[in-house]
Amino acid sequence: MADPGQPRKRAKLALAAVTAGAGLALLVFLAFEVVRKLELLDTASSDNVQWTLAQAEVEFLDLQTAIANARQAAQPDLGLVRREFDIFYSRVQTISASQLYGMLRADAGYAAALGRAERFIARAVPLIDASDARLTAALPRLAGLVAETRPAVRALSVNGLEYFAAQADLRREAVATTLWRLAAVTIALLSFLLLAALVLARLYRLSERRAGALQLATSRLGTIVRTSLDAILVADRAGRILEFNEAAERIFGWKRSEILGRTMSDTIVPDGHRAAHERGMARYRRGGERHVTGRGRLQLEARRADGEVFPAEMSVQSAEGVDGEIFVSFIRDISHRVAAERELVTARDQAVAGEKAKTEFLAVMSHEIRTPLNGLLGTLSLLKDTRLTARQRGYLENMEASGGLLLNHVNDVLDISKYEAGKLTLNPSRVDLAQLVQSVIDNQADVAAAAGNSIDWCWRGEPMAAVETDALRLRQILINLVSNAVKFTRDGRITVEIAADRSEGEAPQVAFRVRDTGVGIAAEALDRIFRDFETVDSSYGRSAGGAGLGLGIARRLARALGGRIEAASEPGRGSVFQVSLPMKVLRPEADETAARPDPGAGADKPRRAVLVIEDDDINRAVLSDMLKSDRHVVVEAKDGREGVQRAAARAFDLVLMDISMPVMDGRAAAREIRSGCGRSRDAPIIAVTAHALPGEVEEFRRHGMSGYLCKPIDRAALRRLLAVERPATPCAPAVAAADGPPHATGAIVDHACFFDMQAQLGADMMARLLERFLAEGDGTIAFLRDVEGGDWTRENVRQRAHKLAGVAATLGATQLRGRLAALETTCAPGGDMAEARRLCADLDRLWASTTQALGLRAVAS
Amino acid sequence: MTFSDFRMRLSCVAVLVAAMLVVAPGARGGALKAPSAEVLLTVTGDIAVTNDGDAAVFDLPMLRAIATRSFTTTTIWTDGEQRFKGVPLEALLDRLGVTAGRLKARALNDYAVDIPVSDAVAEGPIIAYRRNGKNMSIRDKGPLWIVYPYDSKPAYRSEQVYTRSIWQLDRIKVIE
Repeated sequence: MADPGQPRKRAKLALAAVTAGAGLALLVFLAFEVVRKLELLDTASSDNVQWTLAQAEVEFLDLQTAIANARQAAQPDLGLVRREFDIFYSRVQTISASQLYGMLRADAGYAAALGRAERFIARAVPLIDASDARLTAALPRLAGLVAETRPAVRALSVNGLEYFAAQADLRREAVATTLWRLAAVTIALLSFLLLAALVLARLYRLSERRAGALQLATSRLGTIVRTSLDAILVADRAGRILEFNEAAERIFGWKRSEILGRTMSDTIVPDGHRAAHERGMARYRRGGERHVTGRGRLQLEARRADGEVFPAEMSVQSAEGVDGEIFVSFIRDISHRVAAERELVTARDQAVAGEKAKTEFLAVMSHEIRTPLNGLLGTLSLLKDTRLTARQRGYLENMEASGGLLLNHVNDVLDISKYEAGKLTLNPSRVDLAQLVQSVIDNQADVAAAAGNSIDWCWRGEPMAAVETDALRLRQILINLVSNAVKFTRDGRITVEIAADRSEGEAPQVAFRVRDTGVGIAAEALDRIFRDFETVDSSYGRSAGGAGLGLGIARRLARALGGRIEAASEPGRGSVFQVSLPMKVLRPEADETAARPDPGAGADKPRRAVLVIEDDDINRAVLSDMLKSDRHVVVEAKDGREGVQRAAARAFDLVLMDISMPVMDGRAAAREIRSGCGRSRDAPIIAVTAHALPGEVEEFRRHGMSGYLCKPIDRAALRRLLAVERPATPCAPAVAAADGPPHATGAIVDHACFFDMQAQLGADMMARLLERFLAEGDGTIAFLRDVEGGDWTRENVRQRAHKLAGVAATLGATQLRGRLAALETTCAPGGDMAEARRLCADLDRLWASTTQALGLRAVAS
Repeated sequence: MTFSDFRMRLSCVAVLVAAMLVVAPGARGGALKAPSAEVLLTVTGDIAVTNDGDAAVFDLPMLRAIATRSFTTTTIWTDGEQRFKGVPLEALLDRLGVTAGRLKARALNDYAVDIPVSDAVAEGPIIAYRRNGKNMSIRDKGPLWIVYPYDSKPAYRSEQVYTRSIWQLDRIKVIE
């Protein structure tokens, strides 16, 4: 365990040990010192010395006595006198010479006394060493000398005694000092030991507490491991199992006692995974990468004691064990979960497949129904243009009404299926609400009039110039509501109100209220009228027709647009339906008020050459008749193959292409026309289809088609298409372009691309972009045309061409872009500048036709 | 020297040896002759050999005859190294047949000290009679001085040994 306090603690311990050691050493030293000093006191040589000094006095007295005795005796014992003298002599010699008395000799009094004793000896020796007769004679003199010297000898002894007493005092004091020191050191050491004991006691308590906590944690951990629902398995580096809990016994079917010590490879790893497992362990042991350990939850397979392999979820972590690294694995038997998941997936797949089949069925059915219906309705509209009796016209109108209803039902069903399939896509764009509501009113005006109803619309509050929403869906909702109102009203009035509702905070909402003065709806029926196939029985409800899907669809669409739909009614007085939708309110555009040209069937419209490729004879005839009645030139083809041939033979302004056809379908035919060298290779190809599934539009584009028309063909839509698709007349440059220079390929402007862009950018942005394009184009074209100009260099031309080409591509100005791209390529290093000049030659003409095609300039300019 | 003693030593060595074995077991050299010079040392007490009543008295030649040993050492009473020559205490006690007990040694000035017989070892104390090549007078702590070879080992530099180093020695009494 890495404890950051460890080194400090160790340093403290070392310091304490050193202190204790030093204290102990000092104690031992002082103890020795005391012992030494005590010994010194004990065996002091001073005793001996003092005795010697005292002895000197004694011996001197002996000498004095001997002399006195000799003086009184008739026969004096001179031998004794001499011996006593010699003894004293020897004593003084000793006192003078011995080192023991060295210190004493430094004492002035002592030294003086010693000097007198020596002087006595010096004076006595001649007398003693003389003959017996002379010694006898000298005895009185000798006695006098002795008496004279005696105080000195006394002083010798006394001085010595004083000196040694002082010495003894000093020594005692030294011993006392040492003892004091010893005591102090002992007390210090004892205090230190006491402190150490306290610290140790504290440490002991601490370690006791820790041990207690550890034991508690261990037992808690043990409980956790025992009661864990997941298998817990501990293995060492060799993969040998060290621990195996009760859950593991349950899951794997091994007894703990049996499996401990065996390897995972032998026991729980399935046969098929054993090699991989062992490779992994070996790689790990070599210090390589870990694929399992520490990688979080892994799903793999494990083996039970009976050989059954089951899916398991496992997470492995490594830890430090007693004998190196160990691996702790938590393993969960997820066989039930996996089985359940599998069932769920199967169920989901089946459901999805069923749903898909349903959607496909509906789509196909609607196609199969709408195609013949389209034929019927087209034929009826043509029939109307022929001379008919009043009775025939009445039948015809009935047929048209029934056919229209049928078509509506089919469309309703298709809408619901799309919505349910989640395939309803929204295309928000700039919408003029007034125009949209007016078109709804127009659409229903005839039916309303037939029932004696008046119908109109009005603003509630401030009129709005434009909003952003999905026009198609909004229109569909409103038509549903209005037609519903018309159905249940006789000789009454239907009003559509539009109101901006900004009170509800963040997103501005627009409310559309459709009021009628019809039969109304009973309160209890109000909540079920939005259900599918729900019709409220009424005296003329059924006669008005309806599959009961209209309101359901309206509600779905409103929800899809983020809004809601509500109804209120008073039976007998009328109903009101309100749709509230969040919409972005847009600022009015400059030309918003300018009336858009209504593409009617005016005789002044340009004539187009149109190729109709359609296998169904009736539909082909309907389409042709519609076009011909607007004075266009029509060529028909019965299948894709024939269509390709016709397209190659002539440059058409427009190709209308059915998608599902025998021999060669529409997609393949479009591809062939585009990829071939026919004269119509660059003509716009419009898919005509009852397939209305989203996503297909994109597919048509991929096959080279530039747009689509939905069957049944709406005549107005067809007219709009022909009005914008080719601005030039058939004999004007667009056709001529096919014979023009090789780089001038394709239509001048790809309108599909243009409208796409407009839808994406919004009208505002598009207007700004066009403005910029016009300004920049004028400048660039003028520059490029001036081939003699000083700035007309390879690099300049290349850069300017490149820049304008980008904008041209964005706007779908195909030809211009092609020319500019060619110019850019030619101006690359090593390119032919003469060719570049040629490319620039008629650039102004191309620019003029491009701007015309984009509606940026009048044709005349 | 008496005649009988002389004759006995000259005529019958065997008898002498036998007598010696009987009278003084453990003593070497047989009976002590009488001193011919000034008596320097009188040994009394528990001794196996005597030559003066119950005492053994020695003059310088007699002491020299027992054995001699010399050593040089310093002493605490003198200045500088001293060369001592004398009879080893061990040899003397051997001669007197003393093996155990203690010696009560006395000096001319009646200083007395006890010396255990165990001190009398080879390389141990001697009874010195010469210092620095001269016989010692009383003035020189003579004529006899029990000297230990103080410099040879620390044990000989103890207070006790210093006390036992008796000078102006003239009498020893052997006590069991």
